[in-house]
Amino acid sequence: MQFNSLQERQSYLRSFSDPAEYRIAEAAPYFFSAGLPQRQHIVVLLHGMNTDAEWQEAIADAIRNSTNIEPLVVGYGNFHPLKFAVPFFFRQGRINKVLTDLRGIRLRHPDADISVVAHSFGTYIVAKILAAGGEVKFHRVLLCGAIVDTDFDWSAVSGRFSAPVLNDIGRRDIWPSMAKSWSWGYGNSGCIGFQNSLVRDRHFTLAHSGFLNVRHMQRYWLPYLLDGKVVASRYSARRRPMGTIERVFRAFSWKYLALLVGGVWWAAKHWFLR
Amino acid sequence: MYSTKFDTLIDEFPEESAAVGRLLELVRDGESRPGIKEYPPNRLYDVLRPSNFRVLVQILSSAVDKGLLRRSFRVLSSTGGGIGDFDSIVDIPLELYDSRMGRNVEVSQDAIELIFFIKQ
Repeated sequence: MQFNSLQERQSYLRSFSDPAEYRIAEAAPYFFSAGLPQRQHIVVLLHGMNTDAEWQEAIADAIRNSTNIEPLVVGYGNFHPLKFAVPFFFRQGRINKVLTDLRGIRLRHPDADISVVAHSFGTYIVAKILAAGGEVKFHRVLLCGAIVDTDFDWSAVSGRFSAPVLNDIGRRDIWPSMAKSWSWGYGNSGCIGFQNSLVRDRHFTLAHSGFLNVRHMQRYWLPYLLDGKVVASRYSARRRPMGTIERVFRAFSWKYLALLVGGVWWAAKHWFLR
Repeated sequence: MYSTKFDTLIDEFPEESAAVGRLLELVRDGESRPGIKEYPPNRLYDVLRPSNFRVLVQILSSAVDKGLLRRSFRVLSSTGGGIGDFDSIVDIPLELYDSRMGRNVEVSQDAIELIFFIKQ
């Protein structure tokens, strides 16, 4: 940005309300002469299941208006909860759709850094794409409401993103536990974190979709996406452990109970009630 | 003391732990020698080798906030040399007494440089 006088520049600087952005604007001109290369940075926003994901457009607009990051909305349709629960047939199609889109983005922007922000089932898709190998690499990976298995092998895919992955966890989020309890292949990393050296788990008091707003994005996501800076959540440091009942309830695999009940019912109907 | 503050800095910028490590070496080196060490931004970029200038500004700002570095905007006289150091651009008066010229001069943008100090 060019200014005709010192007074003009001071007026511009006084217009900043965010101290971090103020410091960058104040000091940036003195760093330009270092001739540092500026790469294009694209952030892919990936939604969860059973949603039209209105948050994607709102957050994309806010990112576009306040940074030089190019946000791109990627989706896979309104994935029905029944399809979500079935461990075969349906999931791979959604993964392939996102993967095709990511390949297209890479083809169109061969030199750009591509980061991803994924929510809920989108985190599962990102993990599957990373684990599958192939050419897709991410710059930064930000997960929220994650349903990825807590045993996911991040070290096996560590060459495909800039560590650390940031995992936003909601204390009032029950859906990752539900996904793990009621189906196969999912985990409750959005409730308890990964506890992995390649991932930074960050805890909030939020529910499953509590992250998906411009305010949270500006305060907690942008510093990470722009500079890799992890802004600490106040709740992370002072959170209390789960109660025993909640812990048991969240860890219980309802799917096995459902299978057992179903099996007993089927056996009773076919063998004993003839 | 220093290492605790630097640990916090690495926590803030985990991707830039190598650059923060080089900053720690620079500060320790400055501590072990007498006198104030001054570094312009370009020199710090060369020494720290961060991934981009934005993150360098952030790291240095955070280091300033933690008291590891000091930062000043220096107004230069047209005859050479500094005539005033200020914490922020907005603190710089539009007119300043130039002791080298013996009169007030209008401060131009081109006459300001950013300096980082290793020692207070």
